[in-house]
Amino acid sequence: MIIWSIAKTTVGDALRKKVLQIFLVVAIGLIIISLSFSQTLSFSSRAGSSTDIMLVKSFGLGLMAVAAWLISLVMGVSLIPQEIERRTIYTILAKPVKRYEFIVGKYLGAVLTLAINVAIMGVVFIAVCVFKAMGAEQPIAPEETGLPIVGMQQVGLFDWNMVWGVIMIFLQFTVLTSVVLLFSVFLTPTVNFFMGLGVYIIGVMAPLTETLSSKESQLHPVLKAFYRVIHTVVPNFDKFNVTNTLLHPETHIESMAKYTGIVTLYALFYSLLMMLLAIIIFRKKEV
Amino acid sequence: MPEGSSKPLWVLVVILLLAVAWTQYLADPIQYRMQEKAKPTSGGGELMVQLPGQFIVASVAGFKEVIAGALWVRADTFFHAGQYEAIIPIVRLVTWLDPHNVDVYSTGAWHLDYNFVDTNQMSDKRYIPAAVALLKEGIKHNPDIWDLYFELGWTHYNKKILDYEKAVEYIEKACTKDGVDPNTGQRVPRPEFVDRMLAHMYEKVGRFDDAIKQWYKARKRVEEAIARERKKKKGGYVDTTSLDVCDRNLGLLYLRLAWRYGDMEAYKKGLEIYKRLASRKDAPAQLVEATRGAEADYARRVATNNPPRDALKPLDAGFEVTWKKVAPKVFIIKGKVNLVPASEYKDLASECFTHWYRDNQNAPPDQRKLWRDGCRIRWILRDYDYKMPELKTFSYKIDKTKTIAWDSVYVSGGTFSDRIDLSQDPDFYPFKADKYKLTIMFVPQQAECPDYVQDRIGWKGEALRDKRYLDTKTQPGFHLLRKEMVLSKKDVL
Repeated sequence: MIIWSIAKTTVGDALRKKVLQIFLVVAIGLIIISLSFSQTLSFSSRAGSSTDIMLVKSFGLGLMAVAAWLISLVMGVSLIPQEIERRTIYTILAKPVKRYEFIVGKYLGAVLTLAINVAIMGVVFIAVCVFKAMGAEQPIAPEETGLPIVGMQQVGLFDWNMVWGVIMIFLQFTVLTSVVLLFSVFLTPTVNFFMGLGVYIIGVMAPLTETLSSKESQLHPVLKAFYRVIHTVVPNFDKFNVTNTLLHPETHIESMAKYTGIVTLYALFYSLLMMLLAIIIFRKKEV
Repeated sequence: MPEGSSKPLWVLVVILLLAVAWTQYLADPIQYRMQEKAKPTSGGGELMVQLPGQFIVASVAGFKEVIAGALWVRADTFFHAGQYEAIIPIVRLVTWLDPHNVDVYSTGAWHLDYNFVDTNQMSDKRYIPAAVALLKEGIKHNPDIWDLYFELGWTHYNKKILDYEKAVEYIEKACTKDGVDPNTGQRVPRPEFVDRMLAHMYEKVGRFDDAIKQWYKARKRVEEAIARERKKKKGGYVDTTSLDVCDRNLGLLYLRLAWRYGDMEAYKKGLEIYKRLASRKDAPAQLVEATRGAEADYARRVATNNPPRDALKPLDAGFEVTWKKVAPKVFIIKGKVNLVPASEYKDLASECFTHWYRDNQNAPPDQRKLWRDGCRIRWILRDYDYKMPELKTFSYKIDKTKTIAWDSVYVSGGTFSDRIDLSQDPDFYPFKADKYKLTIMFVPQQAECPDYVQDRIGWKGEALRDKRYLDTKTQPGFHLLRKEMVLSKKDVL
């Protein structure tokens, strides 16, 4: 009950933050605008071509990821320091609130805020995709073969893959939020922002650290071991990056439900780990 | 949870660390399969190492496909500005950023094949291996759809490299795959022309039984597609042209097997198909007349036990070729080939169907043709030891010390002549080798040999005879005309 109260308060505080509202509104605006400029990038003379739709999806998912990334970073860095700065933490901890309850409540609130934001963007994004697919056709004979186009076929309207895409974005940033929460226990918001950014970039580049630490890598063993540690400890954000697969359904996304399940567990375990570390540090912290 | 004790929490930390590692371990193989159907041999990490900084930023920011789209537009700008060299690195980048964009592979391969042209608009053949490697890479990333198998089989092996057996292999693979809805990923049947093309290809390589079976298969698929369409449109208009295309082609295959090799059973089957087509109300008058002609011919031959064997009657090709250097790297090729005098059509079995000879004889004398033109003679000039490389991985860096060129010459009135000017483009034709091979040949299989010529010489050129240049070894079972000359550097420069 205490955890839930803290979570609700955190959500209320976060949703009132002007900066987060601006991120949300700008992202939604850009997703809608992508309807008009996607054709410029699609290399196709036909409005509503399948490439055109693919670009709307790519741009939309990318924008949502950037917006969710900013939201989780900006919101996360101030989760604990704000309470300390306002001195409200003394009032909270003076009540029968355990420190772990405070941390868990804060994290839950942050995740809920993220969920609300991603859900709003997701609904707009999927509506834009459906709108774009209306009346879109694609030729069923490639021009390069020298054969005439034998006909056009209507593309399907609703793409379930985009729902997976939205879920993956949400999961990815619950992990980043947990990392930023851990840092916010002992770092100032500015330092935390850059630390969070660094962790995110390294996490997204997981294939690179994996390659550098692999057996085939030509690096010195010590360096290889270093990259192995980095690859294992830093959250692997690349696991959530399935946009290309989702955008090209011809790759036959096998076991997407199973994969999402495993990745959800990964996000859950990693977030729990970060929370636990945050609790351990926060218990020792003089507040 | 007691606030004082940290030990249980550290135990939990260890357990969670293990759980994190375990879920990563579970997710890895599925992720690899999703990304490339298997663990990548040149993984995403390696690609990122090779990518310029701004593209790493792009891929990190999650806008890979948008960046790929923007680069592709940039490629279009280069194309219109004639900066063809700049396009290929962009193709490389776009396929790295978006390895499932099938259009980029096929357009990139087309670009490599056709757009690097010399002053005489002849393409640089040294890029063909790169185009093939690019398509093969595309297939590796997109193995479950028909598109790139078809592109590789039909456009490359059939039309460019003239390796018909390999073309059949790839189109056979295309015929085992379907397509997908580009928006939802739902399976959609592959277009019918893919199956029809396989039947044509079997015919080309002389696998007539397979061709017949394939026509029936293709027809069945078309029937199923029409049934689906009728169900969907509930009695509305449904286009059945594809069905007619299958019937006409299958019918003609049967008839040609009869006319060319004397298979009377095939004649009967072909006629049955054509009689059915001709009996329709909307049948064109020409088709009706052709069918009647074939019917009468069939009856006469059955009565006299005289099956036609037009492709087995020898035809002396009288192949003659002369070659002359008129300036350094400029040559004139001239020659004669007996393909095909109009008189050869007088008693051909196919005449009952086509009536070409009759119509030609009835034409005013000044319009009457003495030859039935349409063949082309192919020439290939290359370094003596040149062998087209097979690239294991796509690379657009070509060996600029090699020389390879080919083209074909139209045969008109039984003669051909071509001026080959390779002097203006030293980058294309460096002539660094000491010896060269000039091959001038006629291959009955190639697209430049029309059906009406094959009616006289057969699919495999069985009728062709020539005292000097008949080649029956290069392609067992086929009769080719081939003259090969070894040229020294002095001959060329």
